[in-house]
Amino acid sequence: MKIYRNPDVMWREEDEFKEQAYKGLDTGEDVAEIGTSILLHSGKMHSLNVLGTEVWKLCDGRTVEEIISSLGEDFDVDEEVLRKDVIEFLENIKEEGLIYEE
Amino acid sequence: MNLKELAFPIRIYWDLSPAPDNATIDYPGICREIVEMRFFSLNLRDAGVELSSTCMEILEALNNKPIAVALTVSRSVINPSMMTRLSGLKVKELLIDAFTDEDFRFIAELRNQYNNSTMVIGASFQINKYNYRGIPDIISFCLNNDLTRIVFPMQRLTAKEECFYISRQDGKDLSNKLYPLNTGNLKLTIHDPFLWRVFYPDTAFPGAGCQAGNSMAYISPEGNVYPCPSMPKILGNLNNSPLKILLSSALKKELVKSLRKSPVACLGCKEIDHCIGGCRGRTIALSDSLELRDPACQ
Repeated sequence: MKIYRNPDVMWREEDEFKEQAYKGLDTGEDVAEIGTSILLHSGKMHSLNVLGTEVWKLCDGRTVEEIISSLGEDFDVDEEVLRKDVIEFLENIKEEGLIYEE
Repeated sequence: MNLKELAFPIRIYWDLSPAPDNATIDYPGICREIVEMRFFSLNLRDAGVELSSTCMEILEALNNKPIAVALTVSRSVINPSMMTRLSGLKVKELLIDAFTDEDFRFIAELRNQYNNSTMVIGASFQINKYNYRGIPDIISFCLNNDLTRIVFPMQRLTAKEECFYISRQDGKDLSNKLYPLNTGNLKLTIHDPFLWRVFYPDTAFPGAGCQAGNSMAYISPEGNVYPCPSMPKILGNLNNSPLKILLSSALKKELVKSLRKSPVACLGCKEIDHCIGGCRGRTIALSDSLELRDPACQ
């Protein structure tokens, strides 16, 4: 099953916060609470952290496995933990109508 | 997540003057800045009897750019060639000012006529003390005529427009009249948390508190930049400063920071999760204070 971003969702990365999150990752800080992108759909704003943003950007027709594999190259995280987080995140944003599967 | 202060807003409201164009304002330059700052949407309003050359210049400058443009006009500008032109300029939403029943009928007919257009056609209805009691009839008309898009625009309190709000009791009365109507099919834009409560008494306002200066900004016909059409706190004028400078100024940042805190008068209120502090611009317009309660709460 391929995953796509809903084209009706407007989004952008916030450069300043993205830089702050990546600096934090380099120094081993917890950056889960730093929002690095903002999404707007049906009048509702969503903020994603650095991992969420990277998953979101990879929702371009890739499968879940392809997304996990691509993230594994960039994030130094246990694969099973990453898999669980990504699947849970994708379920959440699918419920919000931000992505769709085909 | 701590994305409470955006680098730049995502929505911009821009009212154009029906008077001759302000020749000193660099409209294409402002459009370039809007694109560069990656705004999501522009809500452009041209209230003239004809669309101004400035309006067309802006629409052309933003054509095929990654920004959703909604245009609000008076019905006098609508004709077949204008509809084709606006559609070609990829206007996402065409909103027509509705003041009378006849205006609503006109919009409903236009909407049916252009049913297959990618451009959404809807009504812009400014609520005031003379017309608010007619809201249930308007909603009923819209539901019966497949007019599903209605915007209740923010009051231009920056232009000293008379501040209006629906009292709590009137809100309850209206809500009771709206309750039997199935408003689920309508796409409404409601900026006021207390008006929201009239339509959706059981659902919390879907916002993160006052967004003046944070996710929204406003350009007045004179080129003044404000955090919101309802917030009479001027950030500067486009004749003197670029938009980007005004929207990243210390003045704007301080204001956004202070708006993140609930009004002192609301601390401990059990309804704060519902109204999230109400309309802070309205409070400023009426009392020049950020710490008092929104008068619509009373």
